[in-house]
Amino acid sequence: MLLLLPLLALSACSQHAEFIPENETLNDATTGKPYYGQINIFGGRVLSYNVRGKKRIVGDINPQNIGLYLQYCDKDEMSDCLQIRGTPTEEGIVKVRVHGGLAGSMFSKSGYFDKTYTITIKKGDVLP
Amino acid sequence: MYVQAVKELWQHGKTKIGELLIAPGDGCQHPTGNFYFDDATPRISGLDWMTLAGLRDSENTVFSFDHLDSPTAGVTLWHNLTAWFEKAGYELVFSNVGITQAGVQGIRDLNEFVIKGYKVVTLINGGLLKRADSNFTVPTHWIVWEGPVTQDTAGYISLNLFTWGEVNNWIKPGKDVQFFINRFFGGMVFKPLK
Repeated sequence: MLLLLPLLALSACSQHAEFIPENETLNDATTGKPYYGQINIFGGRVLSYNVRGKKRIVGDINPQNIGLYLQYCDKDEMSDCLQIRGTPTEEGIVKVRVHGGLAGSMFSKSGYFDKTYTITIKKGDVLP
Repeated sequence: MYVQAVKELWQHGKTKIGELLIAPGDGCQHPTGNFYFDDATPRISGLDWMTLAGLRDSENTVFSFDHLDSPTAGVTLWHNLTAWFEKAGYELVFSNVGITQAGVQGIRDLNEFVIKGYKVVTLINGGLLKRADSNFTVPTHWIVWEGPVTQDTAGYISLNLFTWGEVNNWIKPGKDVQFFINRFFGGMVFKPLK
């Protein structure tokens, strides 16, 4: 029983995600100029499979047709690091939502994360 | 073998691999909780629940694995794991697993076996792995080696291993042998099935 008590105490934990950037705003973008942003998810192994067992990027961008897209940060396709790339085509507000699960372990429950970032796209300089 | 086991679990609620009987209780066959997160992505695949939770529940006498969040019932100690392998037909040929770190000699011993083609299963702290955070250095995680532990000219450690459904060099990059052995608790070596 003495052995079980610490296990029970540890098992009360569940995985909790933290993010970089911590705030909910990514750098502004400018129409016609290449954009780069990065989001890191910490706190455990990010689950990245859909219901069919296929790998998925744990985020999405809205609106989708504004010239920005999400991709993995490296060739290992680790789902805890996402990049936002592309060249915005029009002004506006873009929402980047990262959401998914963190794997549990022998001593901790799985966890869920859901965070939305905002990118403001400003109008680029127009040549006279 | 795996497909056959899953079919039998689905159709009959039990299966046998060698002498390893997987016969989860009613609670495990009809678990409470949600298989999906709020965004409809899976927390665990149904197949994994049937085989892994089913296996674990078959031998749990104190706790029941009947809820999606039953982590304590999922704690697996080395004697359980060894028994599963042996019942499935594997032969244990070496073990240096325990609650204390196995040290550099422990790595050397297991390296020799894995190079010879034996199956090596080791207990680690999850913080040894990429993208897994842990403030503790206690044993929390089982892995299967796909090759030996190696050290590059800068002293950094690599190990191809299976965990979370993928074979990869999961070891955190840029970590030395001291980092590794602080999170390494030895393992078991099994003779491969013929």
